[in-house]
Amino acid sequence: MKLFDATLGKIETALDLRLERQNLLTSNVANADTPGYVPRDFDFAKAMADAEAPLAMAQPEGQSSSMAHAAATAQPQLANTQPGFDQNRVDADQAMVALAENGLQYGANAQAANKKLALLLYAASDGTS
Amino acid sequence: MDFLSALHISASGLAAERERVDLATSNLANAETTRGPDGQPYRRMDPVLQATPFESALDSGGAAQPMGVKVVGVALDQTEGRKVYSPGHPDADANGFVTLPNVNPVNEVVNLISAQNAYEANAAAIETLKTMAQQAIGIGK
Repeated sequence: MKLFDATLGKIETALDLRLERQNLLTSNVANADTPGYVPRDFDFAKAMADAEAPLAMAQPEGQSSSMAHAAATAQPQLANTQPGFDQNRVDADQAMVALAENGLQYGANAQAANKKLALLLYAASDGTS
Repeated sequence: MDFLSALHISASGLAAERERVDLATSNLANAETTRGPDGQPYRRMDPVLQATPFESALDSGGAAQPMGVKVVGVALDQTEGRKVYSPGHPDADANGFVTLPNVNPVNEVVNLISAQNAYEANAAAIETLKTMAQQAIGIGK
C-alpha cells in the first residue's frame, strides 16, 4: 500500500478525457442546425482503457498520445437518430442529456481528486487537519 | 483542447443562432414590403450554416475533431411571392397585380422559436462548462 499510488494519475486521465468528450458534445449542440451534420462522440470506458495501456508501457509521449488516441476513436454517431429534412442527425434531447451527464461525471472525478488530495493532506499533517 | 475551446464552440453556436433570429425578424418585419433596395419585392433570407473544424493546428484528422459552426452566407429564397390584385398600388404591374414578398409569417415564427431553443441549448452548454471549470479550479482546495 503506497501513499502516492496511481489514483491521481488515473483521475487526471479521466478528467482529460471527460473534457475532450465535453468539447465534442458541445460541438454537437452548436451544430444542431447545420445541414448534413452528424453528431460525434466516443466511448469513454473504451478510451479510458486505451489510455491506461500506454501508461503501463511507459510511453514517452504519455498523456498526449492517449488524448490523441481518444480523439481518433471518436466516431460519428449514426445509431438511434433520424435525419431531419436537412440531413442533420443531432437529436437535441440526446445531445443535452449527454452534455449534462458528462459534466456531472467530470464533477464526480474532480471531487475524487479532492478527496484523494485531502487524504494526502491529512497524512502529511499528522492527522491534525 | 482546453476549456476555452469548448467555450468558443458554444459561442460560435450562439452567434449562428443569433444570426438566424436576425434574419427571421427581418423577414417578419418585411412580410409586406413590396419594394426593396433593388426596387423588387423583398425576398426572405436564410443563413447558410457550415460546420467548421476547430483548432486545425491540433487536429487529429477525420471526423473526430470538435466542430464549431459558422454562418458562411445568406441565401435569398427564390420562390415566387404571392400576387394580389390591387390596381391602385404604386408597385402594381401592368395587369394590376402586386407581388408580395415570399414570406410566410408562420414559418418565420417557427424559425424564431427553433432558433431560440437552439440558443438556449448553447447557453446551457456554456453553463455546464463553467461548472466544470469551477470544479477543476476547486481541486485541492
